[in-house]
This record gives sequence, structure tokens and C-alpha cells, in this order.
Amino acid sequence: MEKVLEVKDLHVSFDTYGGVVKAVRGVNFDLKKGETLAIVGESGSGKSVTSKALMRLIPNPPGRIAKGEILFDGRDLAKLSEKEMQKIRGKDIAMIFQDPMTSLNPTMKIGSQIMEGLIKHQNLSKSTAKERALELLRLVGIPQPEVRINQYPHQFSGGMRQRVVVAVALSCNPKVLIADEPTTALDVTIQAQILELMKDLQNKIDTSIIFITHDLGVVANVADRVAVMYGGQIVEMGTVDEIFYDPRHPYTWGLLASMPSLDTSVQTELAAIPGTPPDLMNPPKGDAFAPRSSYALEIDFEHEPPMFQISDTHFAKTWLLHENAPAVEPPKAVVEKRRTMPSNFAKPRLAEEVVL
Amino acid sequence: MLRYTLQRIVYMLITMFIIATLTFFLMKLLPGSPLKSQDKLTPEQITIINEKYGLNDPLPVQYVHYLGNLAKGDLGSSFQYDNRPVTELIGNRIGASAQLGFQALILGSIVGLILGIIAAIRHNTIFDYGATVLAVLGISIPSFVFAGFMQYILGVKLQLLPVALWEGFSYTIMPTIALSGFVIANISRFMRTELLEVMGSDYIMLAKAKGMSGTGIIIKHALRNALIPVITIIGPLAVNIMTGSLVIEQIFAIPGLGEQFVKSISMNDYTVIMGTTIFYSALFIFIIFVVDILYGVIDPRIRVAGGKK
Ligand SMILES: Nc1ncnc2c1ncn2[C@@H]1O[C@H](COP(=O)(O)OP(=O)(O)OP(=O)(O)O)[C@@H](O)[C@H]1O
Ligand code: SF4
Ligand SMILES: [Mg+2]
Repeated sequence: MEKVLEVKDLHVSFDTYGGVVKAVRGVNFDLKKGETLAIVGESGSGKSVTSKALMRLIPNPPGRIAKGEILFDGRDLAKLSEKEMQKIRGKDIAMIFQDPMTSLNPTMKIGSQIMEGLIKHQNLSKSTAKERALELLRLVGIPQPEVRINQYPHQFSGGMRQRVVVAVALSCNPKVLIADEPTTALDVTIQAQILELMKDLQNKIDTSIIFITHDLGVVANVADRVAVMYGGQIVEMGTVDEIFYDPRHPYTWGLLASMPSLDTSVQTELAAIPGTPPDLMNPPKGDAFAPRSSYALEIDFEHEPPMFQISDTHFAKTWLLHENAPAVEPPKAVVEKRRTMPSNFAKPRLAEEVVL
Repeated sequence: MLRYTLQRIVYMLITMFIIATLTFFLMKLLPGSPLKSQDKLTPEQITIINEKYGLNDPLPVQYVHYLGNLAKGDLGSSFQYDNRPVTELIGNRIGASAQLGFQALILGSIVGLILGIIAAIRHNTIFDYGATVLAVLGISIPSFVFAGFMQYILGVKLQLLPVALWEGFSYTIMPTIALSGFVIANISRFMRTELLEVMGSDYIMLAKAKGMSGTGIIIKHALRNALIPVITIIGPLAVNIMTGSLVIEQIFAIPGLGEQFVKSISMNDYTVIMGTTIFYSALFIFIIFVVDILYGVIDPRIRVAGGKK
């Protein structure tokens, strides 16, 4: 499938008084046309920083892209000027933020907030932009768009506001849509509606989506592939099935084990992953997860593990996949759901020089 | 908006009534009498005068009488200035004071906003630090010190501007600048803080994510939102200008309301003191009213019905 976006060895740092915070440390992934890639990971793992870096929205100072490439449409976004980026933001790559209560301008009419991007990127006249805004409001399921278009954000409920934000994001038919926890702030029924809406619109305009979330339950519903982030790195990546039914990284095991399962009748115990995230100012020497991993080997405290490849699409960054590693038993919740993946290689190999 | 405006007008009238009442009773509590200073009066004469001004009536009667006159716009007549009506005294003096106060408020707001915006946009640069230094000076140097300093440099040494009096626009420049210093300092600090906060908000991030340019974002999204809280301090600043003008009018020998007010206090001229107090209060309440209306104009959450608080 055609790649729309390719991220190579992305490093993002923040220069703070206390020192340099290395929030993203060598992230590689790609995004194919029309697919949804979910990025999961606990708070502070660098999900938002990664996604903002893609749009060059990291405030500088203190933040900067220290290293790496963001290839889009044959260009490296990491090297574009601010002026050139402005032509891409909102047009080719759009974003939805977490909190619909704060992401709309309280003193500007909904209509103007939607029309703004259309006028800027598509050179529409005011009246055509208005027509299009009405159409978009209808598309995202807002009743009475003719009335609503002249209203202000405070006249909308949270769910309705997020619909407006979706309309803003999709106004110019972007090739990539980044949704940073778009449903976290909403209650469950509204969450489902917004997810449904996003999937629906994705089919209509064939956008690729990067979907950031804490919630593995949501991932199973919306994503094609999943990237698991820990301490500013992707530690495992694969198709939804590979991550849910054949996870290889102890951190992924921890995430899955701590997920309330709906499909098993046996109430498995919810196990939060013990310990705290790594100090990103002084990342540990070996594997960042080693101090929290009950599977940690001696080597884990000395050397960072390389990326291993389990199938064409499945990658995990753990020494456990090394041929000399002892066999270990994953948590019960993971073992219970485990399935054999037909496309797996005979044994894991080093993913050297792979372009994921 | 209409409902909101009517509501504000009602509030304004209620506040006015309370202040008028308080002023009346506070004045009655004050020791001394305007008649004591003229010791040449015989006790009989004092009784006659008290009778004439209704000062022997029971307090409630005086109060009702006073309110009635107030409603008619009659503030009584002066004990000292040949019995002239207080309204006329105020009317003669208000022009200079109003011009001075208005100029200071406008100058202070405009310069303050510009400085604040520059400081926020170029924050942590030399511009920001420069604006901070100006603000610290503006807040900490009393206006009369600044006024004296200007009189010496611009008036006496360089002879660029007239040192005192009130005989044309050039005479207004120094007192206006002296009075506006505090306003400039406060508004610029406030504007800087608010604008920085707004620039860090989610909706500015969304505007950036739409591909809007930096200046476009500031003009279309940030300024209006940053102005909402800044408007709140216009009321207090107007008070600062009113009180500041009492001193500044003395320093520059400006024939304004403040100067007359100060004199009437030293002479225990009841009616003038009360009248001027009421007048200042009314002015202040009116400014608050204008500020409230401005709020409504700028912030749709206040203006548009169906809004949540
Ligand atoms: N402006 C900043 N200055 C310094 N450090 C920052 C800044 N922004 C983010 N970071 C650091 O980057 C790291 C990753 O943050 P990020 O917001 O990407 O986490 P996240 O995975 O999105 O978490 P959450 O699930 O809570 O949204 C955090 O440790 C944070 O401290
Ligand atoms: S490399 Fe070692 S410490 Fe890191 S996840 Fe794998 S087993 Fe645990
Ligand atoms: Mg985040």
C-alpha cells in the first residue's frame, strides 16, 4: 500500500532549566493510505509530543526536533520553513485535540472557525466557504446547521463541539488526520458516536488517521495497526491482531493485563504496571523499561535492546526475542488470549535497517 | 444584549441610591460645621441660617428632602461660594477635569496595550524586559514626582512645554502624561500576562493546526480573548485617575473639579463636598456600566442568551 507519511529516527527534546528532556528518542513508523494507526502508551510516553512534532507544533523554545526526518509527499517536514508548514497544516495534515471544551475559540462564531481554513487553503470566497461550512456541519451530524453556524462554542455541548472540531479538521480533506485522544474528555455514549463519525468520514474521504489513546478498548475498534510507546520510544508495533493476540514486549503485556476485558467471563485481576516512567532527562543506560520489568535480564540494565521483527508487520524492542534469551511466561491474561499468527517468521530476527 | 443592558442600568440606579444614602449619613457624622469657621456670627444668626438650610429638621426629613432634590438634579447650594448652586460650581470646573482624565485614560490604554502586546509577542527578549522596566517605573513612581520631574526638564530647562496653567492643548500634555503613567504600567502588565496565557491555550493551538499565520492568529484569535480580563481593570484605573487628578490639578494649577474639591473639604463646605462626592460616584458607576457593556460587546458568552455562566 502507498505510504503517505514516513517518520525516521525522530528525536524531540525540550531545553529546560533542569536540563534537556528527551521526550521522543528515535521513533520510526510509517502511515499507509487510508489506514488508522493507533499510538498507545501511558501518560508521558511521548504520544502528544510525537504527534505535534509531525505538524511542527512543538513550541520552540523550549522544544526542538533534535534529529530525524518526517517524510510527507516527498518532502522532509522537519526541515521546512514555518511559512511552508503553514500551507501544509490544516490542508494536508489536520489535527483534533483532546478537550473540545477548550479547543474552540470562545469569542468566534463556529462558522468562522470552520471557514477560516477553507478561505486560507482553498481560496474560497466567503459565500462559498459558508456553503461548504454548512455542508460540513451537516456531514458531522449537527442539526439545524443554518442556525448553528452563527452560534458560539458555549452554545454547544461537549460532544457537539467535538463534532465541530472534526468538521474543522476535515474541512480541506486532509491526507493525514492526527487525533490526540479525541474522545477522552467525552462520556462513553458520546465517545462511541464520535468514533463512529470518524470512521465513517475516513471512508468517505480516504484519510489516514493517527489515533492517540490511553484506551486499548478503543484501539481494537478503530485501528488497523498499533504502536506502543514507552519512554519516548516505540517498543512494539504490529497489526491489531498481532498486538492483542500475540504481544511480545513485557510493557505491552502489562498494558493488556491492565485492560478490563469484556469478552472473558472470568474476571481477570486488573494489574496496573508497577513503578514510574523513566526520567527523560537522564534516560537509563540499558532498556528504559528494565527497572519496572519483572522479566528483566542482566543485559537489560547494560544495553538497550535492538528492534526485533516477528513478522513482516510485527516489531518489538526487547531482549526476550534474542535467541539466547530464556523462555518466559507472560501474564495469565495475555496467555489466555494468545493465538498463533500464521504470518510469523520461523523465529524472530533482528530488524536491522528496516524501514518500518 | 438589550436585556443585559437594561439589567445593567437597573443595577446602576440601585448602586447610585445606596451611595447617595451612605454619603448623606456619613456627612451627618462628620464633626464641625461650615458655620463654625466664621466666628463673627451670633448664636441667633446661626439659628436663622440653620433654619434656612433645613439643618434643624429631624434627620429622616432632611434625608427625604435631600433625596428628592437629588432626583431633580439639585445638589443644593454652597455655604461658601456666595450660595451658588453646587451643580453650577461643578459645571464650571468639570471641563478641565474631564478633558484631563479622558486624555489620560485614552493615552494610558493605547500605550499600555501596545507595550503589553509587544512584550507578549517578543517575550523574554529585550523588548519584553524594556516594557517591564517601564511598567515598574510607572507603578512605583508617584505621579506627582513624575509631574515635578517633567515640569523641571521639559518646562523649565528645555522650555518645550508650559510649566502650569490651563490655556490650550500644549498645557494638557504634561499633566496627561503624568496621570497616564500608572495606567500604562498596569494595562501593559495585564495585557502581557493575559496574551501569553491565551497564546498557550488549546484554541490557539488549533488555529495554528489550521495553518493560520502568527500575526493572523494574534489579530483574529488572541487579542479579543486577552482583552476580556483587561477590561476589568479599567474601572479601578479610572478611580486612580480621579484621585490622581486631585494632586495633579494642584501641581499644574489646573482649574478643575479636584482643586475645588480639595478646597471645599478644608472649608467644611458640606454641600459642595457631598455634591462632588455624589458626582464622582456617579461618574465611577457610569464607567463601570460602560465597562459592563464593553464586556458584552466583546464576550459572546455574556451577550448571547442561552449562555452558561
Ligand atoms: N513544553 C515542555 N517542556 C518540557 N517537557 C515537556 C514539554 N512538553 C512535553 N514535555 C515532556 O515530554 C514528555 C512526553 O509528553 P507527552 O505530552 O507527549 O506525553 P503523552 O504520551 O501525550 O501523555 P498523555 O497521555 O498524558 O497525554 C513528558 O515527560 C513531558 O514532561
Ligand atoms: S529488553 Fe529486557 S527489560 Fe526491556 S522489556 Fe525486554 S526483557 Fe524487559
Ligand atoms: Mg498527550
